[in-house]
Amino acid sequence: MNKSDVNSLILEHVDKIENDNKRQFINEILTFERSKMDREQPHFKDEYDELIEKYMSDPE
Amino acid sequence: MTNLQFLSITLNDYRQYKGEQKIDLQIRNDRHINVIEGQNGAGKSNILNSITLCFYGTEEHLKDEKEGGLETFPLVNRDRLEELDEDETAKGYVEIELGENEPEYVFKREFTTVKTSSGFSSTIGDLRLQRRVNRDWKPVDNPHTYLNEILPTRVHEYFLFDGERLHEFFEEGYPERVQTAILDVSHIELLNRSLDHLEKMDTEIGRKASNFEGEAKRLKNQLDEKKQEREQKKERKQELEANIAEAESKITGIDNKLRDSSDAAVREKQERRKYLNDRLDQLEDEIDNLKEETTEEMVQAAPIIYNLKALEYTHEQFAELAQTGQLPPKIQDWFVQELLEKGECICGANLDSDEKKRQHLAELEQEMSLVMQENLEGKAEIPRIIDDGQDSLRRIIENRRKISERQTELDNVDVELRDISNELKNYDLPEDVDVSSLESQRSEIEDRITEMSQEIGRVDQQIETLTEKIDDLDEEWRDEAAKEDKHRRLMKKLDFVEEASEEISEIKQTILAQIRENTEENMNQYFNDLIWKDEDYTVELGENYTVSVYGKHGDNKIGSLSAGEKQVLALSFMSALTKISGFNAPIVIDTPLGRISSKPKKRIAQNLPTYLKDTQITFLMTDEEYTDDVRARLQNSVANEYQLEYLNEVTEVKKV
Repeated sequence: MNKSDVNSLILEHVDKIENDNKRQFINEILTFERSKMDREQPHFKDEYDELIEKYMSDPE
Repeated sequence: MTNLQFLSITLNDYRQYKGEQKIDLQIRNDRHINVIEGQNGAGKSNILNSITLCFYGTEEHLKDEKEGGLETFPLVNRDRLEELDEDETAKGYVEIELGENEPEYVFKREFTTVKTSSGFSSTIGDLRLQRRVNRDWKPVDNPHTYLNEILPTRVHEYFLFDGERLHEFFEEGYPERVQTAILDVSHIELLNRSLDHLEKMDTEIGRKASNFEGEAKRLKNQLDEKKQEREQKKERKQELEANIAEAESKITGIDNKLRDSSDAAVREKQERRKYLNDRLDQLEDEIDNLKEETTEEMVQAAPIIYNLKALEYTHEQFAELAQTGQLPPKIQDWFVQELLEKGECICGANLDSDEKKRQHLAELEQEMSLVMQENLEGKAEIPRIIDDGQDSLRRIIENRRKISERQTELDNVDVELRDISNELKNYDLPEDVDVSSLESQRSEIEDRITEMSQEIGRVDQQIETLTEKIDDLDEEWRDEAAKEDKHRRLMKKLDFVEEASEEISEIKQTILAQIRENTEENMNQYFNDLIWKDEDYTVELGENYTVSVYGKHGDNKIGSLSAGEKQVLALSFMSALTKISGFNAPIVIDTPLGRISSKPKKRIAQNLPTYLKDTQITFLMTDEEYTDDVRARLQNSVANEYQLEYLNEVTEVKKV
């Protein structure tokens, strides 16, 4: 496990999510949170909004 | 090994360490342990302190008396300061190389001591970091960000700790420490933060949806009101829980005072009460488990019990049919088989020339063999199902008997506890603590706890009702909003955020249970391996993070463990933490065997390294800890061994 990785115990469960968009979205927000772990109240809204826009647009 | 390790620690004019002293700690292959041995006062704890000083700007392991009066030492080495005149300064530093197999990070912190007329005054500089990028070393602007990825401040105490003080971990109020450790180390905080941030995004998107008009707006307002109402209920619940925790801590305080009473009878009653309270908890757990088992059994047995008459009737019918030769069916499959082999049907048709008829007969044969098999299986299955049902029924009756037995014991314990309380209330011991008044206060607090617990039950019910209402309103609002094209994208965004939140919540619940289970399993194994007694213990980690250590008579010993036993329990817990950890940092333990006597020392020396074999461990040991026996057991795992030689207030690190 790399020093900046999310705990593999958590990732094992994320990998089981069948919907690709949702799985990748959750992976990305967890990685984002891991990188901001040192901050009490990190800025997140822009990053989250961007990720939501990116992954919510699955083909209908 | 791919985990991070301390490759070296360099101390420059730091406390006892004069000049530059580099301690190489790189481990290799199976040898993942470093041992630094030194007498009390030689500066072992200051090696641990040098790490926390460098990383976090604080020395956390001060052992004033034992270590020869640390307070009297300024940060910069005293010999070095002797060379200074008044108002002159001297600098020192601690530098730590970290990496997997070769240096990737070099953390460094300088400190300065000034010689004043009244003594010395020290200041600590900023943390600096050089990071290797390809072959070059580059200074990093934000060293704390990197450090927090490796070993954040709130987590480091589970990796860099004083073994001798470990027993304190399981002193009063430990469940909170256990919970914090598990949550911090396992990265659950990442899930909590993600959930919190998604909730905020949900609110933000919802706010945009408040601009809708007509029925959608009305429903949204109603929905928001209910959500707010639920929020207030949740806050009330939290307030009650905090009040209960405070009340329980007051009871513990009163119990301690009563336990210190000069009157033997009061102390005895207090002891008895402690035992009864533990027994009460145990009985409640047992009753809950039995009820759960019974419910599961009933779910399984109910269809059989309800259909028992039908099953028995079917079974009788099968028996009758078999007796009259109607089962298996009259047309035997061998008869059809013969027709197929002869190539002529009973009706005279030639099966070799009429493929359709041949196929029909072949299908009939197949079907008949299936019918026969099902009939035969049915005949065998039904008695087995009836037996299973009867077994379940027997177990349900047995469980109900056990529940009733435990309930009777629980009622008796309750009565005895009330009797003890009444007796203590009537105590009049002028020279002692005011037993009567303390007991009255205790009863009042207990009554308040009962009232608050009941209120929590009512609030939970209200939250549940509100949640149902919110779910209905949410669905109605979404249906209404989705009727208009212009809202669709916003609603889709909202759905996506909420679905992601649900996924994360589910993962959180699953992983919390998994982590607790893993920690319990490892703690149980490690404690039994490390403890010096022959008795078998069962270590359990409860849902509220209480730890129980059951002996062979089923009595919970957690409250009566000795300091040494508590240290072993804490070592077991710390080792179990590494299995669920999201951090791969090295471990440094000062005086790991400090409170442990001879026999368990050997067991710990033998077993502990195997639990943590993927992690670099550095033991800071006294000569009393690092005995020949311990050395012999560790020798195949030790990569580097150092001796601290202390003379005239200066320590030198010598490689052994």
